[in-house]
Amino acid sequence: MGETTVSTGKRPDLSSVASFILLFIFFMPLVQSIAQTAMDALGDPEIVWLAVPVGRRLTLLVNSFGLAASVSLSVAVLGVLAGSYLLSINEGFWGKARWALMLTAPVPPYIHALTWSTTMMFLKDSLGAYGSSIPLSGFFMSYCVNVLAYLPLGVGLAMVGFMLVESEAVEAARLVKDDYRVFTDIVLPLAMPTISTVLGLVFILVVTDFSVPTLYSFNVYSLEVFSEFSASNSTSNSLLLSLPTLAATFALLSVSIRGLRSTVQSSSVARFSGFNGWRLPEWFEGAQVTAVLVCVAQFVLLVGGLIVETGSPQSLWFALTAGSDDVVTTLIISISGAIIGGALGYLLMEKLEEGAQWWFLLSLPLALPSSLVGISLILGYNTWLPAVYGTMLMPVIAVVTRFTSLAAIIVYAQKRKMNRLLFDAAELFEVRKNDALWRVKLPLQMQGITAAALILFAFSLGELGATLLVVPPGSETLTIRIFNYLHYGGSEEVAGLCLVMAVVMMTLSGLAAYAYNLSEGKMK
Amino acid sequence: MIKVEGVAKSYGSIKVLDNVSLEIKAGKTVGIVGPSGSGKTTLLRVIAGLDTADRGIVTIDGIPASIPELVIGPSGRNISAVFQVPALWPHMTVQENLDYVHTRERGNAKGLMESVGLSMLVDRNPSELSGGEARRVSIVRGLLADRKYLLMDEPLVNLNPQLKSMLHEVIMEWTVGKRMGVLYITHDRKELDYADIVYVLSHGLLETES
Repeated sequence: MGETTVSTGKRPDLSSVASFILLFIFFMPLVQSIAQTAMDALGDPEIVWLAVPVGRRLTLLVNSFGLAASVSLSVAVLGVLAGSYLLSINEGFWGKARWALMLTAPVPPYIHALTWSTTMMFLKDSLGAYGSSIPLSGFFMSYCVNVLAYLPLGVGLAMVGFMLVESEAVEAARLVKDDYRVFTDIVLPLAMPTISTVLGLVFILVVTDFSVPTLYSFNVYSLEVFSEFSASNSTSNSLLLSLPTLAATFALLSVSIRGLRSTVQSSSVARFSGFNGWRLPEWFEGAQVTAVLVCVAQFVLLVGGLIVETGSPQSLWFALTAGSDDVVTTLIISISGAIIGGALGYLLMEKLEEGAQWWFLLSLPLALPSSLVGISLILGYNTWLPAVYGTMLMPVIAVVTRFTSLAAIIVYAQKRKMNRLLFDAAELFEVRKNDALWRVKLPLQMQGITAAALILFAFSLGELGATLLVVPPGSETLTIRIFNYLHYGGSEEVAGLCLVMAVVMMTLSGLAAYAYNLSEGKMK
Repeated sequence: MIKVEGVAKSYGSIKVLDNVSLEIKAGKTVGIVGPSGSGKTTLLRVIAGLDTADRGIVTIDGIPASIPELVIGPSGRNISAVFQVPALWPHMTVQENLDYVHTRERGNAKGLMESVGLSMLVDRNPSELSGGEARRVSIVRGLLADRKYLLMDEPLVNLNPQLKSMLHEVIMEWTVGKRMGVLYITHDRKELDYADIVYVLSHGLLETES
C-alpha cells in the first residue's frame, strides 16, 4: 500500500494577497486623500463648503445629473428595444453579425465625438437655411455622442439579461397571454436586474466623465473637479468638490451591484433562446427597428466616418509615424496593465464569492471620477513611494486601479458557467501540491483570464482622466494626443489616430468575446 | 379536436419526429410513452406552437394552426401546459402565478390548491417552495387555465408514490369534469393506465401500443 501524506496546514490564500495588493495600490492613496482632507478641514473649516453645491456649482451639478440621467435612460430604452429585436435573429449570417454591433463598446466617447461633429457639420451645411437651427455644441451634442458611445454596452447587457430569463417560464406564459403581454409581464421584469445595471453603470460613466462635455463647451461638475486640482493643486479641495457626485455614484453603485451580481451568478441557468417567431404589435416592432438602426448608425458613423476623414493610407501612415513615441508609450502602459490586471483579476475573483461587500469594494474604482483616482495616486505615491512617482509605473498603476475589478468580474462570470464539481474534484484528488491550480483550475479558466486581459487592454488604451494626471513629464499617450488635437478641431491626423485606436479596440473586444465563448464550448 | 398530420422535424441529420400523426379529442386522454430523446417534448412544443416542424400540419378545432409555419400563436391555441420543470414566474407569488392564467372564479383556485395540499402557500414566492411543492403549483396552474386542451410533459417526475397517486387523481377528476382533451407524455407507463389511447414514440416514429 502506497504511503499517503495528509496535509493539515492551511494554504496561503492567494486571493487575499491579491486583494491586499489592490487595496495597497488603490485604497492607500484614497485613504490618505481622505485623511489629508479631514486634516485640512480641521485647520480651515471654511473649505468644507466646497462640498455644498451652491450657485454656479449647483448649475454644474444639475447639468451633470441631467445629462447622465437622460443618457442612461435613453441607452436603457434603446438597449431593450434593439436587444429584443436582435435576439429574434438567431440563425445564419445575421445571427452572428448582430454581435459585431457590440464590438465598439470599449471605444471611448471622445472618438465618437469626432465623427459625430463632422456628421452634424455636414448636415448643417447641406441643409442650408434649414440646418441653421442644428446646435453644434452644448447639451444636445454631448447627449447624442454619449448615447451613441454607450449604446453597444446597453444593447449587449440587455441581450444578456434577456438570455438569462428561464426559457420555460416564458413559454408557460406564452400559452396563456399574447406575446406583447408576455414581454411586458414576464420577460422585462425578469431581465430588470440587468437592465437596472445598464441604467446605473451608464449614469456613473457619464457623470464622472468630462471629456465629451468639454469638447462641446457644456459645463459639467466633473470638469470643475479637474480644473480645481489644476488651479490649486489641492487634493482636499478636489475631494470635497467631488462629494456630491460621489454620493450619487455610490448610491447607484450599490443598486447596480445587485443587478450585476445576479446577472453574473445566473450565467449557469438555461438560456432563453430569443424572440424568434413572436408576434408583437406593429408600433413596438417599429420602435425596435428604429433602435437597431440607431445602433447600426453608431457603428457605421464611427468606422465609416473615421475612414472617410483619414482620407488615404498615406495620411494614416503619417499620423502613426508622427505619433510613434506615443504609440510605444500607450502600448507599454496597456500591455503592462492588461498582464498585471488580468492576473490580479483572476486572484481577486475568489473574493467575489464572499459576498456583496467585496463587489462594492472592488467596483469602487469604476465609480470614482477618473480624475479623482489620478489625484489620489499623485498624493499617495508622492508621499509614500516617491521612487515610483513620476515614472512610467504610475499610468500602469492608474489603469490597473481603474479596471482590475472589470477583469475580476469577467473571470468570475466565466467560472460560474462551469460545473463547481470540476474544481472540488481537483482539490479532492490532488496528489502533488498546487496540482489543482496548475493542472485543472488555470487551464479551465485560461480563456476567461485571456478575455479579461484583452478587455483590460482595450479599456487601458482609451483611459484619459487618470492617465492625464499621472503620466511622466515629457511622455504622452495616444489618447492624450488625440484629446489635445480634438480641442483644435478634426484633422486627417487625428482621424487617422482615432481610426487606429478604434480598430485595435474592436479587434481586442472581438478576440475577448471569442476567447470567452471558447470556454463555453469547452464546457458542453 | 387537435389533429396532427404527418409532422416531421430534424435537428441537423438527427430525425426527431418522423411523419407523426395523432388526434386529441375533447374529454379524451392521449398518452405517449418513450425513452429520453425520443422526440416527446418536441412533439408537445410543435402542438403548442412553441416550435415549428419541418413538415406537416397541426389543426385545432378545424383551423390550421401550423402548416408547418405558425398560423396561430401559442396563446391563441386554447392550450394549457405543464412542463418538465415547474417554470413558475419567480417575480410573482404563488397566488399571482395562478391569477395570471385564471382570471375568473378564485374559488376554483382555492379548491384545487386545497386538494393538492398547498392552500397555505399561496402568498409565498416560488423560491420559497420545495421542488415537490413547485411542481404541484405548476400542475394546478396548468389545470386552472381556462383552456380546452392540456399538454403535460412528465408532470409527476421525481415525486414520491403517494404524492403521484394523489396528483394523478386530481388531474383525472379535473380534466374529465371539464371535458378537456389531454396529451400526457411520460416515460413511466403506469401513469397512463387511465388514458384512452397510448402511443409509443421511439426514434421519432409514433406507433399505437400493441
